Amino acid sequence: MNAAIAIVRLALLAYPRAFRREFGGDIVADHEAILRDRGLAPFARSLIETLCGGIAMRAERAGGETALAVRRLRRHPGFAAAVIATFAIGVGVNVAVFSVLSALVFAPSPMANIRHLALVTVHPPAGPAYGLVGPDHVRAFAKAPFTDSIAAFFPSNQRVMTNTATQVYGLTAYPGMLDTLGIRPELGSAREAGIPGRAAISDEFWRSHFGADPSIIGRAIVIDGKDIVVAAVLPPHLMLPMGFGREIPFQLLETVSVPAFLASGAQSDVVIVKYKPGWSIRDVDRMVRTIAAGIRTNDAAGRNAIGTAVDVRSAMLGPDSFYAWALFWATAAVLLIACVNAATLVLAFTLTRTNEFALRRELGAGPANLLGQLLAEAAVLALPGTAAGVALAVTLVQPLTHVLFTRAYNVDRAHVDAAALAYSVGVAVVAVLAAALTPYMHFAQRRSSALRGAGLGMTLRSALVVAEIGAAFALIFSTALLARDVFAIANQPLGIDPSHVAVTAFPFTEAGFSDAGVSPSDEHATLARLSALPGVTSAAVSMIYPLSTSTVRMPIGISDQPISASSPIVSANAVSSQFFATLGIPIVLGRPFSAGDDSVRAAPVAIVDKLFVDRYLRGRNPIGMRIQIPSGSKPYWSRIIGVAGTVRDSLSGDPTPAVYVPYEKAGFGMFYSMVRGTLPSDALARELGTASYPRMHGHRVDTRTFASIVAEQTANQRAIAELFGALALIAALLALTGIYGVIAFSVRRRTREFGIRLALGASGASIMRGVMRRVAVMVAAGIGVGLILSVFAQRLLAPNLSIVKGFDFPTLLIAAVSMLAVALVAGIIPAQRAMRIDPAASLRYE
Amino acid sequence: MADLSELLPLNPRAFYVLLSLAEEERHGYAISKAVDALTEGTARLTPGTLYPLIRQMLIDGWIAELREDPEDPRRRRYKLTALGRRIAAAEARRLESLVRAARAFSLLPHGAH
Repeated sequence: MNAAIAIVRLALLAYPRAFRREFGGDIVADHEAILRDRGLAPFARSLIETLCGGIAMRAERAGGETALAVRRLRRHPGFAAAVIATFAIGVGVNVAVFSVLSALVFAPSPMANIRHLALVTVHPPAGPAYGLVGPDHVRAFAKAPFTDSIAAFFPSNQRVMTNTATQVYGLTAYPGMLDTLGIRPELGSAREAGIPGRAAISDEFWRSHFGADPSIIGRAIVIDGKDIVVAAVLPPHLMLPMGFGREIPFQLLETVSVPAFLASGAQSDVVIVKYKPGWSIRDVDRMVRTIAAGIRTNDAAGRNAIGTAVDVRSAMLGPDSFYAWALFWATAAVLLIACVNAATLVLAFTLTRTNEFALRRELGAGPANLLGQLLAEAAVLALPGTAAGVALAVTLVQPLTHVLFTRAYNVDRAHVDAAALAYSVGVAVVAVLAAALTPYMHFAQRRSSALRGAGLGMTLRSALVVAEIGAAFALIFSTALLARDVFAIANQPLGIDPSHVAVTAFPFTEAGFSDAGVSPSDEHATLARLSALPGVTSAAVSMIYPLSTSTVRMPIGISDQPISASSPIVSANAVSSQFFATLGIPIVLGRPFSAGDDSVRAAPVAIVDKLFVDRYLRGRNPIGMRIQIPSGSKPYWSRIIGVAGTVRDSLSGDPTPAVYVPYEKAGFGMFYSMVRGTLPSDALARELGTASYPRMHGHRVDTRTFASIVAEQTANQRAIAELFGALALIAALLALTGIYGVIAFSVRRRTREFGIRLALGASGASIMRGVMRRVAVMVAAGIGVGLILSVFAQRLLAPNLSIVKGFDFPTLLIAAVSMLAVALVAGIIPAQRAMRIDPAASLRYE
Repeated sequence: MADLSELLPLNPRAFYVLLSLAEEERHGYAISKAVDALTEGTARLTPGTLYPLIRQMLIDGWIAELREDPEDPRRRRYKLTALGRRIAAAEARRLESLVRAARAFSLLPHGAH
């Protein structure tokens, strides 16, 4: 009996307290009677109904609160719009970034074996970490104890699909690559495609050139006059390590036999090892280091290379993963600020209704009623705010993936999904609680002691606004840091004069020209035609050009020491005679190439750059010295005739010493062409595009200016900086309203005090100074917090900054000045109001 | 006199509560037992439905509360107010006219009770 009654008392908790107080006794007595008169089953049924009745009553009451809240907020559309917008921004930005992050970090990869894939690289003990994985390494890693199977590939030279003269960018692969990576083809078989002599083609190529014809499987296509059987179509948007797929599109993945792969002599950038179960990436890395240490390379100092293994997932995400998390924390900071602001706005609004709340209290409303009302009001604001935020997120996700993280393999799949929605609901609940609890705490305290309570609420609010200023400061600081770094990267001297220059975007093979009816010797005719274009002053062709994504490295024998394992590795380029003049590279010593140097019968000559002289020929006169240059199996000796200025071959990292040889001599099968003229670069690029190769069956040649190359290569960092900028702007705006809210409230609260002081002869200016002093104290404290946060931000960002290093003063100054400006704007309006208070009216206030 | 027709038709449960109080004052449990007897168990009023109803009727002035029940001090007894009585009567008249209509259309036998 007693247990049954205890349960009834428990069920009574479902009812509002007032009802419980009034009818609780009756209900308990009734249940006792039911149990006594009618037995257990009717008692249980009655108990359940009692519980339901309580819940229904609460729901009805909440509905009433909601309707009341809606009605009240409709009378204050400005306030409602401000809070809804705050919610929308906070939720929208966060959900969008969360969606992208979840696709990047949590979504499955098209490479099913990704958890057991190690990206193995081998690089010289000093200098840049470019790939040096030679045949010996591939052989050693293929039979290493941790290896289940390996995948290796390197980009083949430009190739042409013979019957259509279509240029095909191909990768040459070690057998069984798709199986090793766990890539399931869209069509055909991964195993078949891994057999030498067979190939897989990209989805895009399949659609554009074969009309998505399924019968392509098993058919042979003729590439450079050779039959290759298509055994698979790769999945769409496939992204392989090292940027192949999206950043460097390829159409063909051709498998060759192991001996052919090793004999090609090409140094593939990486080897991907699928390691056996039971091995960890750490163990694999240790083993790779040991193996690599035992293999000789042609390092300048004769040292063996260093091998490392990292897991493919983090290697592919690279800095994107870092930026995604950085963005996540930045947006979380914005969310925090948005919550604080929603709370501050609701509090400010609630404070204008002190009388209403007092009246409600007189009518018997307890703290629970007050909290219920505040929660209902916050929820009414949060619901449309969250809906707008989710809509904002849906529209933001796609643009975000277009400007950011384009290297990531599965960013295409980013969308607002169930997880993101759950996240947004969580975010909204936090914001509602923040918005309702702050005024509740304020009133709950006010109830006990009117004056002290208000003071404490004020302190809390000031502390929140200080945090807000700090977070905004750190965001502005991070933005300025990123922006300054991008600016520095984009504006570093390249060693060339990039104005009035245009270059072709892709190299062309001589084989391609013969197929297209252009013989290789027509390169001279091409140059002559380009030189004759109106507005063109010089034209050149070269194997590579500064900032083109490919580089060519080779060992060089210096001053009668033939090429050996200890020869220095330099950046090599084959250029036509006008190359230096066209790109504006100064010849600091000796002379540039002449037309005569290009002749096959002329004595071999070379030009080195200043860095080469500084590093390898210090104190000697380079002109006339001999260097040995590799050329297939027969290296040849060349005489140095000139020294060129050092040129940056990429935007990141240090320049590599360079050697230039005449184009014709080098016998490379492909070239870019470039022109300098009197026209602006863009106009030159258009001319170059249409005039380059008129007989290439109407193929329009894609061209670039150096400005567009720099813009392309810094696009990701720029987008990150812009996004941080947008977040910082939002944070600053929110902080502005936060400061305004606190100061306006404080002025309102002290109206009476100010009035008395004015009446006693204080000047308006002194009152205003007093208010502004309060602003100054908050901003100073906020900047203090911001400085601490900035130290962390700086530590986090430093590894991904190329040029701007250290805790630099100008960036801090930018952030501090921005915050002060924001605070001044936010404080001046309420401060002026305080100055103009009418003493007589203020005495009637409250 | 206020127009009572706006309040009609009554929720059947509310009507039974008013009916059970028409003859004598009762406490909550007595009301539910009376309704049980009146409807032969077809409309059962458990505490979860009864007391919210009573609370609303008290607010609207259809019933009034008497002081403590002499038999059980935890309980309070309720009586019908004049307004409550008029509402119950109006509802009864409305039902009666419906029954008359049903007879006119031979849905019910004439003179049956």
